[in-house]
Amino acid sequence: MSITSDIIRGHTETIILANLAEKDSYGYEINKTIQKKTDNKYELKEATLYSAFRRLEQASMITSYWGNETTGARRRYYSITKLGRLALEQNRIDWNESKELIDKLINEVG
Amino acid sequence: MYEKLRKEVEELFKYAPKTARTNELKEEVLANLIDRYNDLIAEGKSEDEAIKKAIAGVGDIDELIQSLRTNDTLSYEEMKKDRQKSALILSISTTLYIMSVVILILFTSVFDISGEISVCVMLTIIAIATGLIVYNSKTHAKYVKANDTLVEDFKEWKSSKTKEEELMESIRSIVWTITVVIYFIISFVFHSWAYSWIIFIIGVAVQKIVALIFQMKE
Repeated sequence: MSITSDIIRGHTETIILANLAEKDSYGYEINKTIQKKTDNKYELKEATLYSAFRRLEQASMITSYWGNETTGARRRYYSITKLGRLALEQNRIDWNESKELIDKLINEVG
Repeated sequence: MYEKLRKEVEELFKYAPKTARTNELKEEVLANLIDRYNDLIAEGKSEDEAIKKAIAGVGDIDELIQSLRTNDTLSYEEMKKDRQKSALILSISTTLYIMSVVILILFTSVFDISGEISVCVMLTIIAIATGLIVYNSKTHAKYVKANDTLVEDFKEWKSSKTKEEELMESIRSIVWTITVVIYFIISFVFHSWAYSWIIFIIGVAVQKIVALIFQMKE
C-alpha cells in the first residue's frame, strides 16, 4: 500500500483539480469525496491538501474565497480557473499515457 | 463552542510567524476540523475521541509552517514587476520635469503666451511630476523581514541605507561636475549666458535618470 499512497500523493494536485472541475469545494469536503471514491481505501492527510492548495493557487490554477458561515470558523472555498482546467486536461493525457506505457513494461511478457 | 478545537489549532501553529496569512490558514484548518469533528460525533464517537481523530487527520504541518515563513516576502517575479512599474513612474516624472521647461520656452517665445500663464503651466507640470515621485516612493515595496529576530532587523536596516547612500553620493558628484563643465563650455562657445542656466535644470533630470539606471541594475 505504501507505493500506491506515494503515487497517489504525487498526483494530489491533479486530483484536486479534477474535484474542483465538477464544483467549487473546500478542504474537508474534497477529502470526504476522495474517501468515498476510493471506497475508504485512501485518505489524504489535510497537511498534504493545504500544501497542494497553496501551490495551485500560486500557479493561478485555482482561486479561493471565504464562505459566510456565522458559527465557528469560515470555510475557505476553492474554484478552478481556466488555466487549471487546461492543466487538468494535460495531466489526464499524461497519466493515461504513463499508465499504458508502464502497463506494457511490467505486465506484458515477452 | 468548539473551544477545545480552537486551542488545538493554536497549539499546532505555536511556532508559526504571527502574520495575516497564518491567521487565514488557522481559520481554514479550524473550519475543516469542525466539519470532521461533527461527522465523527454523528458516527457516534465520544467528544474526546472525535477531537483526537480530527487532529490526527491533519498530519504533519511542519512544511506548511516553513512555507508561511518564507512566503512572507513578495516572490521574485512580483518584486521585478514592482521595480519595473516604479522605474516607469520615475522616468515619466523626469521627462515631465524636462518638458516643463521646454514648454515654458515654447509658450513664451514661439506662441507668445503671457509669461504668467506659461509659468503656471510649467509649475503645474512640475507638480504632477513631483506628485508621481511621492506616490511612487510610498507604494514601493521594501524588504520585508522573514521573522522578528535581530538579524532580520539588521538586514532590513542595512538594505535600505548604506549601499544606496554611497552609490547616490558618487553619482551626484559625477553628474554635477559634468554639468558645470558643460555649462561653461556651452556658455563660452555660444555666448548664451542668458539661456544656458537651463543646463542646470537638465542636470537635475540627468542625475535622476542616471541614479535610476543604477538602481535598476541592482
